[in-house]
This record gives sequence, structure tokens and C-alpha cells, in this order.
Amino acid sequence: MAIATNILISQRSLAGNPVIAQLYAGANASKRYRVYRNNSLLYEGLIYSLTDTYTRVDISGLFSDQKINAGVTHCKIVLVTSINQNDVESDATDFTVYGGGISKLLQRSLISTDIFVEKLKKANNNFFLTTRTSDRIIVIPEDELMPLSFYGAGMKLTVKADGLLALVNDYSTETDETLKTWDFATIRSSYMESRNQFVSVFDIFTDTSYSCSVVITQAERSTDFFLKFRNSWGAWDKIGIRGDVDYAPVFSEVTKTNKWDESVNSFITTQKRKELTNTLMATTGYKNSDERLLLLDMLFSSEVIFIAYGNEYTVNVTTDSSIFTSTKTDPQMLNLKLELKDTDEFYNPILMDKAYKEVVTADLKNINANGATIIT
Amino acid sequence: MILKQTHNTPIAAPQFSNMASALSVFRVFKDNSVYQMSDLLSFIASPSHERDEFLTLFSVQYINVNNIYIKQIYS
Repeated sequence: MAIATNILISQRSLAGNPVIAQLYAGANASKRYRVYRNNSLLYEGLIYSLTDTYTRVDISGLFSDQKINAGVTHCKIVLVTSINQNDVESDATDFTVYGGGISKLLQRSLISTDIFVEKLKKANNNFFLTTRTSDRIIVIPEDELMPLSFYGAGMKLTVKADGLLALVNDYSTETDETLKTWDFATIRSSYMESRNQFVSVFDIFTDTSYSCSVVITQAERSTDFFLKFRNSWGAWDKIGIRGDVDYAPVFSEVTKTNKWDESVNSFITTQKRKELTNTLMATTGYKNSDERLLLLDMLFSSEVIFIAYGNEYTVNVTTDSSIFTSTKTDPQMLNLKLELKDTDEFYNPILMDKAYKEVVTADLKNINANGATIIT
Repeated sequence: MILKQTHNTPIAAPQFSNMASALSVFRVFKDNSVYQMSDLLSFIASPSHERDEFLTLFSVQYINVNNIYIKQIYS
């Protein structure tokens, strides 16, 4: 079979989806291949082909650590031949692996194109690594605002508010892809300092056309509770929990042991300190259909952090899957079960009382050694 | 007053057309002339009942942007 190249591999792939390398060894032949990541050898494998065709190898397993983190890895794949007991590499082919992944449903619909062309590198589109929406209007509640990431190499981007310039970033000469991040809270603050205006809507443009807008919306109800999580692109996002949060701890089974008691010359039964799983039952508050799908992405995530009064706790989150069978478009409240990853054998009220104590301290007058002064 | 959402049209967070003048109002509202722009920024960027009270001290203009979102501009 006449072939143009011995290695076929997509230039760009997501770590969470198949990374297919098609390698040619010839009929009834075997061939070694090596995969390098950032110029370090990552893996050496062997293919054997009965027929005179390419052999397909899925090397996505080599990048499993990148599945959950946004970012870029520059890689190379080569074929290896032994000549005079020396390994000679040939057909070196560069490729790039990006963090995150897309659903199989989306993979099927992109069969003649790819996610980079359709979204991640499409300048006149919503190219941000957010799963809130794929629309060109990205709506984010003001207290859920997190930095937005994107892959910007080759783009010249301008941010405006009310038609006035807020930010310019020119990455057009960059050829090696890297992860970029814009913190719209900081952009908002800088715009205020330079223009004496506080704005909530930012329009993003490339050097040729309009891309998308970020609309920071008014939160319907303030809250001290949030869930921060890595979305399917591997970037951080945040959801507010605007309903009730109840502490509902779960104790482990009692562990009993026998212990020799000299005073009665017999074994007695004692029990060890129980372990406690810190469990919280949370109600999300009313969420519209977009927000419920964002909650779905949060439930997929392997890294979820519960934020309470500014403190962060790593949690496992579960819910009743029947809540997603509804086809209603009306806003709905969802119940979540949050299990803190730490189990405990000891209790201390410090964390529970912290907020209260800070308020009381601020109101106290001086107490001296001769006795307490009257607190007014 | 908060406009109720109609047909899921989001309402953008409060915007201010003149922050210098808002700072003067903020200092009177908080009865503290030491407050700086960073304090005002932190206050108006976070939802709270107190912020809602503060907003009532300003006149507001609502602008519907192509039924995509609604701006509320305080001055």
C-alpha cells in the first residue's frame, strides 16, 4: 500500500477523549513507537500488523492526569527501528493534548470537524472554558464570578464595556498554545479606576469581529455557601447554594475490643472512639435549566470544594438522579448531599463558633485585671 | 426596586456611571468619611440587603439590550 506518512495523529486532542495514533508498520510486521511529553519519554509501545494497513492505537491513557485539569501538553510520537543494535527514531510527529473532555454525544455530532474548530479556537464564538453555556452571551451571577480561561495563542483580543476599551491582549504572534485566564473582577476594578464607572457587561472582540459577551448578573439572594468545582474543560467554576444548608453527620458502626482488667481478672468490652462523616444536606435554591445543567457538570467533577463563610472544604456531592428527568423549564430547587472528605474522631466548636465570636469581640470594651468594666 | 425577570431575561448587576460621586454618598450612608474606593467596590460588588438600601439613594435607568439582558445604571 502506498502511504504518504507512517504516522497519522490529530494535531490537537482532548485528554478525556480518545487520542488516536495510526501507525504503519507494513504487512506481517511489528514496530516500536515512543511517545514524548515535553521532550521527556512518556511511553514506549509495540504494534504488530497482519495486513498492509495502519494500526490504530488509543494513547489517551497516557494523559489521564490531564483529564481533569485545563492546560496544554506538547507531545511527540516517533517510530523506532533497531539498526546495528542502535535505536533509530523516525517520522517524528508533534501533537498537542489539552485538558478536559467532551461527551460522546458531542463527539458523534462533530464527526466531520472537531471541538477546536467549533469552539475552543473559534475566535468569533464563546471560546471560554466554561460549561455554563455555549451561547455567545455568558451570564454569571455576581457572587459566582470566577476567572475565565481560554486557549489564546494566535488571537488578538479586545475587551470593551459600553463601547470603551477595558483590556487588550495580543497573542497573535504566539505559536505554542498555553492556557490564558481573565479575571473579570479585576478587569471591572481596573475599568472603574480608569473610567470612574462600575460596569457589569463586557464585550469581547477579536481583531476582525465580535466574539461574545460576559454579563455579570445580580444575584437573586445573597449566600455564604458555594460549591467550587473543576468543570469538564478542567477549569474552575462556582455555583451558589441559595437554600438551606443543614448539618446531618453520620456516625460509623461501633468498634468494640476486649481489654484485660486486672481488678476483676477478666476481659471487659470497650469501644473505640467512633468516626464521624461530616454530612451536609443542602438545597440549591431555584435554578433555571442552564444552571441545572451546570449542576450536572458539578456532579461529574472529581474535585468539588464546599465554601462556607470563606472557608473551603473538599467534599463528595451526590443527589437523587431523578431530579434531572424533568423536562420542565420552570426554575426548580434541587437537594444535594455533601460529604466532607475528612472523617473525624474528635469534635471542637471552634469552627462552628468562629463567626459569632468575631462579632462579639468587636463589641466588647476593655477588661482589666481589677475586674470587668461594664460592657456597653 | 428589582425588576422581575421576564422570559428568563437576566438582569445585569448594578452599574454606576459616576463612582466618585457614589463614594461621597457611600461615606454618608456608612457615616464614615474614611472609606475609600476599594471599600465601595467591595460593597457594591457583593449582594446584600445593605446594598439594596444603598441603591435606593440613587436614580436608576433600566436599559433592555435586544431582550438579551437588562442593564441597570445607577446615578
